[in-house]
Amino acid sequence: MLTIEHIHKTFRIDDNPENDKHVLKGVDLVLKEGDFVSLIGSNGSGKTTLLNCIAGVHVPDEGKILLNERDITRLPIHKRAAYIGRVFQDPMMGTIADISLFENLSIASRRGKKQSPIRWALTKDAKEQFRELLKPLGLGLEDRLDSPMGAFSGGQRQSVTLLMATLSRPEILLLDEHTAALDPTTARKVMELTDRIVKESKIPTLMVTHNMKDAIKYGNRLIMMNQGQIVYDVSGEEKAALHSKDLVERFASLLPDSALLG
Amino acid sequence: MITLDAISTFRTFMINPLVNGLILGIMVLGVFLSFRVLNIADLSVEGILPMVTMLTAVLIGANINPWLTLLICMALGAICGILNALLTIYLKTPPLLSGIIVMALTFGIAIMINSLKAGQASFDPNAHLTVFNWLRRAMSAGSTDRVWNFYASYLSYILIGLLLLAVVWFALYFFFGTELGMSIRAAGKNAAMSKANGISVNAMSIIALALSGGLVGLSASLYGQHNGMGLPTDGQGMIVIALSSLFLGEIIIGTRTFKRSLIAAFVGSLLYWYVIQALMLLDDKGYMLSIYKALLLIVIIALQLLLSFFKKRKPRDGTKAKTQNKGTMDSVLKETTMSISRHCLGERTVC
Repeated sequence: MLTIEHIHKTFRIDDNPENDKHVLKGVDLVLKEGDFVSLIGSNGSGKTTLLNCIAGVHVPDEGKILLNERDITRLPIHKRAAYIGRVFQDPMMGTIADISLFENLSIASRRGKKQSPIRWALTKDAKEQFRELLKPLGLGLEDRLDSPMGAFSGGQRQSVTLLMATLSRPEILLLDEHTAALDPTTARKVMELTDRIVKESKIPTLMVTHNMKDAIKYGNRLIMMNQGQIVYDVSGEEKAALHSKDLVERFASLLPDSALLG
Repeated sequence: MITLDAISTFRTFMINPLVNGLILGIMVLGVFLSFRVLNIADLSVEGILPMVTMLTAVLIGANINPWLTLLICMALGAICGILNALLTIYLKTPPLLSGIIVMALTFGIAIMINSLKAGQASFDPNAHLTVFNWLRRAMSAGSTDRVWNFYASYLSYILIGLLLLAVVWFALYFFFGTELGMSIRAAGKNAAMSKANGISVNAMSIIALALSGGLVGLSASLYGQHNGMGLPTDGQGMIVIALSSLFLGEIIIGTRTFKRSLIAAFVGSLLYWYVIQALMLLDDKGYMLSIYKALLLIVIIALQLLLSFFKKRKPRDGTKAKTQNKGTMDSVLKETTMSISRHCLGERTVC
């Protein structure tokens, strides 16, 4: 369970405090087991900053972030990585291009564990294990374990990153517009895979997206942020009955004319 | 009948480049760690090398055990590497600048030793024990055969150089196959991904730079023991030598796997000194050598680029793929924002 208690985050642009950007203005959020949340909001609404605060990229100025009663507010990224799985927007970012798929997976399989200076990193057992794991994806990746990651397409790399993020079970999965850089067909496939993995593993998931159709179609809860605050939070049947028209109306009512035209 | 001239020619053209290539090959492996594994152009080599050769000359001159001298110099090099990493981590200096600071500091120490010894940081190889003449004495012990004793001195350079290079090579090969070693490689390639996978990028760069500095220290100490002296100018152009060797090896061996890159580093070092020896034929006074070395590096880099065109492979760091992707990402981003504003604007005008 992820509990976010009243977090604030301000970015200092220059010496003048008047130019400070107050991006998060007291966000409270509780993510329960089995929650699959789509987080939407216009540019600058603070959704990515919120995700980055949970991941450890930013430390909030105020407030607390608790993951299963553990205070992770100030924990460095690599230390909280033991509990957090993350998929980036850029398909190149989640994997290493010039080492093999096998090596990438093996790094992910040790997420949050001690790195031994004497134990061999790549073993035959692990390879078999990964092969079995890749088969159900249906992408033919199980036969290409020794190919360098750079030889794979963006969609394949994003699928692998998704698998890597959930390989050793995290307590929360963070998806940062992870299909935004893919073509529509590939994006749909990756979204379907995401849905399958999240439903099967029941890992609480927070997905930032710009795609309103995805936000409505997937997940059991939808949160909209605006100007650093959560302005809309629906789940269950209410969420299921939601149409993209409703969302667009909500969006439009939130945005001042100047934001649209400027 | 072998004349003295023939022997001297053989030594100059066949033995000396080999010995240089073996001894400085360890340094090339050190530079490989910073330049290829961590992606840092670490110039500290130019300062660590003269500091260590001069310190070695002083220590050997004071009858310190030559193997212990090697260990001391390795530790000193490792400390310099750690300092280099700490500057980047805690003072946020760019890695290039950290390297330059360590270079200036260590070069300063070399100057200091030079002044303290009044420019005489040298020892008599016949009077003081080095790792090389330790082996020579062991090999020619009890033998009165003058020819064998003569060869033993060359053989000792080659065997010690070969032994230490082999030990270092296998140690690196095995270390970078372990879990920790693979984490270090990951940290150098993709910091964001490594952090997200629980790898402390800072700790990894400390370990890798300590290893790199340690290898440079070891190589420099061997170099000093081989030369019988240390000069503040010993480090001049060493980064050019190291990078030329590395790139030359990569052209010939390739970099498809980590093992290949590691083999490339020392093969390049061996070949490089034969090329330099050939170039020295054009320059009997020796004042053109630095220019030749710089030109050779340019030629090697151009050759590497040319070959990558012919092979039509992706560049090894994937920059091409990245920029291409950035293009598509930008366009996707633009499309998404445009479609959102179109949606909203459409709704507004209806209202």
